[in-house]
Amino acid sequence: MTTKFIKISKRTKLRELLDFWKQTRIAFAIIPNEFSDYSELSARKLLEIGMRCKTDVSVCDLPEKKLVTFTKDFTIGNIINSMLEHGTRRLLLEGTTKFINDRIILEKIAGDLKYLRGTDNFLNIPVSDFPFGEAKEISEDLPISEVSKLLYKMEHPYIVYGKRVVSPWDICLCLLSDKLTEYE
Amino acid sequence: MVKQPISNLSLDELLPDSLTSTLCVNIEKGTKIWVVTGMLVQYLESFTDTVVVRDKDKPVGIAGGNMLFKNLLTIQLRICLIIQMLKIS
Repeated sequence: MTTKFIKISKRTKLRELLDFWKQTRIAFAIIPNEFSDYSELSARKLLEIGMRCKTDVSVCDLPEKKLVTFTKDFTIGNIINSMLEHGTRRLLLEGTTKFINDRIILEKIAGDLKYLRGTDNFLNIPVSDFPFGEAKEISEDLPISEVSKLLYKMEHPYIVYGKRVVSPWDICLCLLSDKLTEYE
Repeated sequence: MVKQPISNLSLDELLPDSLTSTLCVNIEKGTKIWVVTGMLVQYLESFTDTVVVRDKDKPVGIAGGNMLFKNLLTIQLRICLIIQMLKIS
């Protein structure tokens, strides 16, 4: 568990929230709700803001970032180390739109591997023993609002456009742009 | 009038109808890692994405995928080390 999380209020500005998320690299916050309890905000939730932006800023304007990839000869230990080293939750299989992420790994652990009971060589298991997800490939330079809508509807939100990959986190960073001034 | 960037707006202004629509998923402090793993399989990448750790109702921390991985790496490396030591002895 980590204690690095932020408790926000309705008056918290979007920039304050995103600056905190950038510092901790954990896109998560809690907010008091009308039931005297807490609700939560994730990167996926902020796609609702991206969907309502009226802007020409498009997927092409998103900063290019280094693609973190893997090959089929990686072990799951290599994959987890790479995720932690690069601070990413998803790695793309080189030359394809297939990916592996934290959910897929935990699903395998909780399912086939029976929570690792009796498994003492987990880190040496080949990644090829794991199922891969398939990112959605788009060929059109869509505005951020449309990309947000696509991601919002996807069960596993991950889009590939040319050499760029886009996740809800990339949309969150884009929401900090001073170019985004019109909102529905 | 100069329009201001939306990042200067409050969350309530940006999400007036849905800001608090996703309730927290909670675990009590001391919950076993395997239970958290099973829960995260259901919630990772959803609107929840991370579970909140509570100590007598008070939120004291959060648990997500990469936190489990750090824990897993440490445990697995310890197991490997113990196995190597047993082989040597």
